[in-house]
Amino acid sequence: MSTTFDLTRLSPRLQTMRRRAIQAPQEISLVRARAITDAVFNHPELPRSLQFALALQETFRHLPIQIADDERIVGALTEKVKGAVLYPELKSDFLSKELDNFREREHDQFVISEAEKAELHGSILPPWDGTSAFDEMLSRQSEETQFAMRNLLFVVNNDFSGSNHLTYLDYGRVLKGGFRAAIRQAEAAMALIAPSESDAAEKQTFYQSVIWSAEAVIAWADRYAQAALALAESASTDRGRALREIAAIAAKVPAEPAETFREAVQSFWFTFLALMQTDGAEEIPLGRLDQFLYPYYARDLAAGRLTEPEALELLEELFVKCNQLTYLNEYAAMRVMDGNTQRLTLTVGGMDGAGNDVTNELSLLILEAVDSLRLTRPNVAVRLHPGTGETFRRRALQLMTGGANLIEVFNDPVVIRGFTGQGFPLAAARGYMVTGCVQPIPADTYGPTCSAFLNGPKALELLLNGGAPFLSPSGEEQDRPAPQFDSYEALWAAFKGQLTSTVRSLTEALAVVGDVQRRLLPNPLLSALVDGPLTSGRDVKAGGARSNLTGVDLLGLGTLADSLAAIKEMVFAKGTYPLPQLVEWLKADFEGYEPQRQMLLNRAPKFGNDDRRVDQIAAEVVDWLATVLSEYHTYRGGVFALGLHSETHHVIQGLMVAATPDGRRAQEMLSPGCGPVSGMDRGGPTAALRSLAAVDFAQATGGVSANMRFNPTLLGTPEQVDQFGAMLAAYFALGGQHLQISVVDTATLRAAQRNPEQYQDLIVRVTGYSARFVDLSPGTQEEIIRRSEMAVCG
Amino acid sequence: MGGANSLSGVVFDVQRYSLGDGPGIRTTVFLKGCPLRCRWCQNPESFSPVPEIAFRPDRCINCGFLGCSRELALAEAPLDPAGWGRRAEVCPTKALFVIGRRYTVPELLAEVLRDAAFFRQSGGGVTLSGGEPTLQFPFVLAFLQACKQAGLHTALETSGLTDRDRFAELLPALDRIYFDLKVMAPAEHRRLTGADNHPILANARWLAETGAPVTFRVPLVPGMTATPDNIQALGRFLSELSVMGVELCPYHNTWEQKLSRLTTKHLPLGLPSLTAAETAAVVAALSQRGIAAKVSHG
Repeated sequence: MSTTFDLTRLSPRLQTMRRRAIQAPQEISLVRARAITDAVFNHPELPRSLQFALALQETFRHLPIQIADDERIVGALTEKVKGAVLYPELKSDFLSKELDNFREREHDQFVISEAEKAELHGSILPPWDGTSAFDEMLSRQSEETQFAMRNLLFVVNNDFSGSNHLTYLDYGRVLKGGFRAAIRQAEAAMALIAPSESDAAEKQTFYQSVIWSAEAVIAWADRYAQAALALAESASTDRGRALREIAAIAAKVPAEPAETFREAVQSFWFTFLALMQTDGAEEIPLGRLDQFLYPYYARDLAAGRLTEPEALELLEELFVKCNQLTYLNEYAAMRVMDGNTQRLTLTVGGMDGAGNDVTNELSLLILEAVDSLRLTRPNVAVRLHPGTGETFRRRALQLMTGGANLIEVFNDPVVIRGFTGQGFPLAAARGYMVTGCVQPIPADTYGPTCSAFLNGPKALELLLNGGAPFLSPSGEEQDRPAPQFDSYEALWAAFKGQLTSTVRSLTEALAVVGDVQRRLLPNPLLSALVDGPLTSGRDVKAGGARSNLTGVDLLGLGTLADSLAAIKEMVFAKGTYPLPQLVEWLKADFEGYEPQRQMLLNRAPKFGNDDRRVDQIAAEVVDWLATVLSEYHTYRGGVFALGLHSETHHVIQGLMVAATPDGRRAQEMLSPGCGPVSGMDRGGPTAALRSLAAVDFAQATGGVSANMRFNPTLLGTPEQVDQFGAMLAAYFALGGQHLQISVVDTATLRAAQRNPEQYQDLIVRVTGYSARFVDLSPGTQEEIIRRSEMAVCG
Repeated sequence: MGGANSLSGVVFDVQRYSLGDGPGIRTTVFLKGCPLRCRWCQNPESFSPVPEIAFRPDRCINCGFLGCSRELALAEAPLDPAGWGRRAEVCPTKALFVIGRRYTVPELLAEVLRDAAFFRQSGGGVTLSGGEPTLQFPFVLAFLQACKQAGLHTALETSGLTDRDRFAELLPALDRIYFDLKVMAPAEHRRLTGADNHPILANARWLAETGAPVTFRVPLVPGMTATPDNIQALGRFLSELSVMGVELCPYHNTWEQKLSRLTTKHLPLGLPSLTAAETAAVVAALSQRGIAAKVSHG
């Protein structure tokens, strides 16, 4: 299979920009880190939200303006081509510890100059030592939650700010009203605060912080306008005209309403970048771009101000710029978001609040742009429902099956049913967008959708080892006697108890997280882009949004279901082995018990093969977790959403889990996403999908990741693509929520491991996002190769 | 129907998401037993009509369960199900395994109906293959009738070597027949397949003349079926029947790896795969006679 594709569909200008985005080294920028450190430590008189708003103003006052010769959409996140912004207020310890290793680590390297290191070590990082929000959060956890976190029963999401990323962002309100509208709204609300209100002072502060933040963004765009005018002075006639046009637009948006498609794109881009200057701005969703840009597109086209190719090129430019964004992850986080740390998910298609299909010409143009660029960002989430327009559905299927490996598809009815089941209004549920990698969120809702990961197989390890970890990263492992159970039902009841207590401790940990987020990480700019805060007078972190949701994800569903099924079948049903004996083998990591391990691997039922004996167990685990979570409210008074996705946590956290009853050896990877153990689904794609659909995904509103790999020969003809489309439709009718496939054969992947330089363009789907295969760690590469290759048989 | 439900058949594989065996997404049921011994057969495990025990030495870990060992299995091959059945049941790696499982009609119907949602969505259904499915005639008839009652699209892949009456009885329960034509010269057919081609050609003629929904297929094996003489003869035969279309299945030698892993008397052919150019030449030769050949990659 060839991994090269035709780049000439792009204009020469875009080809150059694309090359620049790919080839630029990853660097860091200290402008914001400097500003926030100064604002917090030199202005103790200000409340935190005003310190942050001040920092935003200072950042935008000092950030060097970058306008490249070929740009039409302007706005650079940092002074570097591909620079990461730092957020020491969020978490600073890793920066001091890992500063010298960013360039040397095995992948996702960053170039940091000696001068930058000196400044970080000298003045920026020291005051944050022990005072960052993460430090505060850890120190306030109870002994019980600390124990659970140390032993990886669950982990709190590394980017725990619960901030921009994973929230329903209403860019449309900026395009329509501009930031000046937000300022006016805040001023009007401020004027109405009665001094007698108990939280009058807090409200006053909040509105002020929104005003300062909005002004900061407007001032920054103004600097772009002035810089473009200055450049125009000495530019050629053509470029001079272009620069004056850029200047006129930047002087107008995002302060004022956008009126044309280009103004809307520019307004969006400024807003998006500004959000990245606020806390922990990883993976800000691009949202429903085909929806909020469409009115401008349609109007321009009707007025003859814009052609379809021009709109396409603007979209391409926007998407290329997304690939100039990066995020400095600490080592541990880099490994669990292997290969792509800025997924930047874009949602396309779907329905409106009344249930009408909303796919439009722009939806198609977005797919077109993604196909001609072949880059890992944005991550394109395609919403499908029975009424989806046929042209759009076909184009999405082509893109999905053609080997580009850039999109994922979502099943509207199941996502929507899930949200309404949790009490969200139907219109909000229908208006959902996808965040992070696979996490849907209803309209007007503040996330975060991905707050913590609960390790399912680890919970079973504790149950089988008398309540203690048998393998512990913190050295707290113990060897306790295995408990006795008379029946599988008794064991299952005890395991449910184990899950319940893990969930209780997880929700306690998240309550501490929420409290720290409220006090130490307010986000006034984000609050202006979510429905609620400007009315309630409270920051999103303080529960100011109209509705709230917090996602909690289960890791290793497949490994867990297979393990429980192995116990049920081999210990209780067939009586082949007594439980204490099985536990003894697990503790020996099957050393000396290879035949027994093979028996468990080959003769116990495995999730992913349309085998009710185990599929039922997977469904029961999900039911139970969803039920337990539904008994809690989040810190901000919202609901918990259960997710079944794993990024690459399943590889990394597997390292901390002892051998499991499914025949998996200690430290091997866990099952990815909501799927079977990689390679254990051996009955073909329909069998695997039937297994997945046995799980009630309407209970998994936190998003699920279903991954499959196909040999290209299975999708080579139009008939085969039709058949795949029919399979997808049937899967969704059966209750599937999400599907993404990588179309690549094993031989190609092995060849790419041997000769990475020849496979620079080979993109694969990981779990909910795309990455260049050569950028992945060996562990994740292996997991993708292990996935069953659905091939033509016979 | 009580009688039909008590019938059972021996099946050696049920393959889901099978795309080359008829319209839409299909489940292909491979029935055990075949009257032919084609040199190029890719499913030699289908020859015998009864379940048998196979051994894959590459999977064996010498566990010693029930006194089993790699040496013993290799020495005693072909393995007698009476003695080896229990070992196959406990073999941890499935190095020992039974080829051929007995299904009743309701059991097999339940198995194929698992993918009913996918059939409906794609216009697919069930394909019977083998071996030669019609060898298990009463079972196959009952199963196909049950499929039709369940509203499934049905197809049959056949060598054509069976009683005409059986075809006649099966026809009402079949939406499509894929009929293999191999070698036209009688002596050559006997040499390469072990069977007389006269009844096969007579059945082909009868099906074509009765207007049955039949599609003829030719496995293109280098030097055996894909010779210029044979293709010319084949073209003549099809023309006589006024059949203007045929499906070609070029030979791929990848299956021969399977042989090295199985204890079987079937010998690898050592043949190269048919090249694209050779396939194109066959297509061209047939098109000169006005026969449209479709190359299938199943």
